[in-house]
Amino acid sequence: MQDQIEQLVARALEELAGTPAADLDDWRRRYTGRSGELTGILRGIGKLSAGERPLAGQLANAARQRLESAFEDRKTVVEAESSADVEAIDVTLPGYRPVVGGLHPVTQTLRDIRRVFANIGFRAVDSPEVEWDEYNFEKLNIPRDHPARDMWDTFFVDNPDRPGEMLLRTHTSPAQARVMEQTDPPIRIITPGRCYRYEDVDASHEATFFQVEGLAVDTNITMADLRGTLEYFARALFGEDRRIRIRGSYFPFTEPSCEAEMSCHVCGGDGCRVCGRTGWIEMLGAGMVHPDVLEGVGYDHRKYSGFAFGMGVERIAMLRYGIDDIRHFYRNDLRFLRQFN
Amino acid sequence: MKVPLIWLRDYVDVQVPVAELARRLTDAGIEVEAVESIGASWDRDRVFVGRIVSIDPHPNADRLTLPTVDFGAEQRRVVTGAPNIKVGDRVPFATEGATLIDAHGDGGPLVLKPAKIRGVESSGMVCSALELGLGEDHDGILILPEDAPVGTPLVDYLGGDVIELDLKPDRSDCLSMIGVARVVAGLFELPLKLPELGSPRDDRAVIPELAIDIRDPELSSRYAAAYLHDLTVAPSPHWMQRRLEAAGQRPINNLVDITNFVMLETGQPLHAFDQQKLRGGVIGVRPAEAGETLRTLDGQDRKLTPDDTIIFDGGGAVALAGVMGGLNSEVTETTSEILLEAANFNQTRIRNTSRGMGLRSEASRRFEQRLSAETAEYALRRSVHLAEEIGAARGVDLWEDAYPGRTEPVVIEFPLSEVPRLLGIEFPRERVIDALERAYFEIEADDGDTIRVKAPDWRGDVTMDADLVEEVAVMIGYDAIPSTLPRGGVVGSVVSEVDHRDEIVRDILAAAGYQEIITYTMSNPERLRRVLGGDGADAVDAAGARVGERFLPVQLEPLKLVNPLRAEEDSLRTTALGHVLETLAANLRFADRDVGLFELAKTFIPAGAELPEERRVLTAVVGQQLSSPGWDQRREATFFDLKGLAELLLRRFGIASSDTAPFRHPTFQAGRCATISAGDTLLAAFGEVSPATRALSDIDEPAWALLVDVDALLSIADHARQFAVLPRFPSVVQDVSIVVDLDSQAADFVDAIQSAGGEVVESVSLVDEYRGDQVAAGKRGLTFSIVYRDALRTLTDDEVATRHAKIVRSLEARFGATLRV
Repeated sequence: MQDQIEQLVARALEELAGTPAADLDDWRRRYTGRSGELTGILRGIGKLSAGERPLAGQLANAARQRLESAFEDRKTVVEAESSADVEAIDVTLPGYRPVVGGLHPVTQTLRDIRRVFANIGFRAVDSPEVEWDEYNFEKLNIPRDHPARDMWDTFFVDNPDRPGEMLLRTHTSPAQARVMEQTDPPIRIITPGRCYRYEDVDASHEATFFQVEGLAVDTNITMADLRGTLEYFARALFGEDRRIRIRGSYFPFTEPSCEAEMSCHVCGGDGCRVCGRTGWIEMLGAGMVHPDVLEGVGYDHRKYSGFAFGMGVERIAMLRYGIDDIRHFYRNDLRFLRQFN
Repeated sequence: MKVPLIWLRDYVDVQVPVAELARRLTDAGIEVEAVESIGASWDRDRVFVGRIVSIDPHPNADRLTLPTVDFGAEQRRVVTGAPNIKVGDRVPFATEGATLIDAHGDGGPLVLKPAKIRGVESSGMVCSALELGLGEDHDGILILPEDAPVGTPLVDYLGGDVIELDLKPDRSDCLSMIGVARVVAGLFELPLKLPELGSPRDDRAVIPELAIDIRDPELSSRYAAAYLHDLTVAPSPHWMQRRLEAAGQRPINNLVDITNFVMLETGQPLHAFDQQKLRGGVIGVRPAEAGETLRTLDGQDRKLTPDDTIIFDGGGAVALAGVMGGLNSEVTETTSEILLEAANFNQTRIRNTSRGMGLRSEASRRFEQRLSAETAEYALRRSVHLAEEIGAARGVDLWEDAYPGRTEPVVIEFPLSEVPRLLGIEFPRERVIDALERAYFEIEADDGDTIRVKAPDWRGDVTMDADLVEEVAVMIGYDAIPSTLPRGGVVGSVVSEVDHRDEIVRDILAAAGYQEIITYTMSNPERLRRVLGGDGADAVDAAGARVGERFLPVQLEPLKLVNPLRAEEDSLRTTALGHVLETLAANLRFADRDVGLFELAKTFIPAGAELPEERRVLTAVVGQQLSSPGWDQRREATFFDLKGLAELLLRRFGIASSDTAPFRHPTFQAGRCATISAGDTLLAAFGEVSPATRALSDIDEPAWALLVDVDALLSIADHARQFAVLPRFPSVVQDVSIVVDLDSQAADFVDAIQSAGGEVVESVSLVDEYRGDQVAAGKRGLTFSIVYRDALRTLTDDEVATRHAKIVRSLEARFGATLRV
């Protein structure tokens, strides 16, 4: 009898799966109705022995419940299906995208730069955009009338009380002196911010631009650490196989001074249009903090050494995104800005 | 600084490819900006020095002639239209297949083919400077010197590579061929060959007396003079002209060319005076007197000040020291004796004078930088030697020499441990010493750990051991330095609170659909005041005055630039709203209909003589059309969009209670703007931009703006969050619709409902506002949805009904509200 019930249930369920709404009641009649098959089996229980009867009763009742439950589910499904009689959608119509804005590509690049340097323990600090000559030049070993001042064409701010002293910082380097004056080594900072140069604007020069200065000072900082730090940065932003080369340069506030270049991220170093066929891309200027700068903020230059670097943020963004004209950044044309969202 | 390789090789026999030379120099900090190859396209087998053998008339054209050119191997007849050739002239001659520049076309390359011109076969071409790529001159054929060797490939005679250096201010020693040659010799370990000077050969019995009078060694550390006589003015020899031209200096005549040649060779500028025009047998250096004038060589009368330095003779000023000669002592065709000056002047004073007068020359450029006073003597000896060699003059090389500013050589005690301490790599001591010696440093003493190093006189940039470390790095090569990361470090947060706040603010604005922009910080007072719309001063109430002070202090005199690039950017902005509105206008013109923009940037609030306050303000604007997700949906921006944005920010910074209140300020449309404050702290102002303000910004549709003091936001931010137990019992929601006065404030009703309902009122929210015909004039309908809940049990219908009725009575009693049905 057990086999008989199981076979019946299997057959009934199989049949139910394909039953349309109109035939559902008929199915029910045939299996669980008053003269249905399962009912017929139940009637036969009376003919069994008293020992077999309870088990057979249980089985038959369970079978009835299973079939009734399956019937209800099937009924719910076919009723729901019959009511979902809707027009088809043109699935190629555009989706409704939740409205989100975006961040300026310079902000995005600054965030990435901050993140990379945060990973190796560099804290980002802010520093004034309107500065004193003292911090922008003198404390950086660039006295008045020094020929090196020609390297930075400067906007001066009118200040009748201190004529010729207030200016728009030409680089983020004044933050070096400001931080070192207030903090004892060890120091690991970057100072992102806006800088200004009194020069004509063209495709690769802006009078207003962002720079990120980096500074590490401790008893054991070397040029090798500078190279390693820049390599870490270049790899994080431009790919694992970037290499750094450093070449001699001159800045009054570093000695030795250098320019760092990175192997081209477009051609990998073979030479292409982006790197001017040299395989290398100029990245930034850097060097070991000049002993006079260290002494100027009260550090013993025999005990401490440090490296400093300064990079143009727009330049990094241009390299990353392949932007060909620096003037795009501050025109704020949405057709430009939205490309980076 | 242009360095022709033929000139450089006079002093150092460097034969590596020019690209390799350029790379090594750049690695050493002497940046090669460009490499120019003169005659790179002149085929050795096709372009020669030729000689005009004869010139026949063209049978069919008056303007054309038929010169026959001898170019060594053979003679050929060609057709030319050039007017300037005559028999015997040496000229550049190109044969078939040569690549020239298409002077008549687009300036691109042109491969010479045999051609018939007006019926006559032309089997070659005599060339202009332009056709050879030597300049712009196409008025005639380039006439070469008479001694040009006929048949020589032109590239050997005129061609060659020129490297152009972009020198940093520390390497003024490389403003000379010899200076660059020294570096090249050191880098490539080659010998340096300086010109032999021999001894002066002057046999003239009588040499005039000369006294040199340097009034202050601060003005001039050295003033030396040579004496030239028996002058024979003529063109200089080809070798000298070729070097000068390749270096960018136009040959004039042998005497002028010698001064330029020696300046470029040694770095020492020279100045020639007509000795017979000098008065009193004296020449000297002194500051100009106030009001003193001098007519300079360019014919200008220069008004001088004591900041200028002049050269004087017995009668007064004869030159502006280091900058330009005086007309009264000019060398002319009638000059028969020359005083040739080689001096060293105070670089700052020369710099200020040359800048002040806008007179910058190759000479002043060298004086402005560090120039070794030692060079003066060598330069004079070299000049007189050259003058005699090329037959330009005879002379006395060191006629008189005043050298009051002689200084001792720089000697540095150099602990060798500085090299690994700064570079992070240890080199064998022999390599370090060799590197320094290759750069012409002398090792005077060596005690093992420390060496005593004497710097050469031309390396005034080297004064301390860090400079020597750089020298070692340059000569060995920076590439030897390994890559390591700094050891140790700093304990503490790497992200400041301010940066963190800025990130949050930007992320919220971007998530809310606004696009970040970054605008310039420069503006001008009128541009700034445009945000005020018209005058409108009477339209400001006390709250509006606070908004103005905090966010729109455009009545303040902004910080002015002394040297602005443009009049419209002559000041530092005190608000960013103007720039942001201008950007909105520009983008609306690009036909973007849904433009929401924000900028989080510094504004500069003047603080008298001190550095300004750099105040960070969030400025957000939106045009008429609000961005909506659906391409088939449109929605206009409203007051509530801006308010909601502000509320979102406040909530993110945990500011739970704040007050919103109307204000009057001409930037905003009265009745459609509000401030948000927490206690006494003004946090934000927002609303519809007044029609006058947006008209002045060229926006011709409604616009909305939000200004947030993000520093205030941070100062009262509360990032703590407290978990509240989730309710276990059901709530009952009941709405109440009331008719109230039009000028009532919705927030008052919410408060009233809360206080009348007591603790069981879990929340009250406005769900509808009605204005229109169905309520009486001067009235509006408001519908509030009230959620009732008891934390400890299920409320019964009766309890809710009682409480609701109490609320309604309270509203009626307190506000004269009537139930709306």
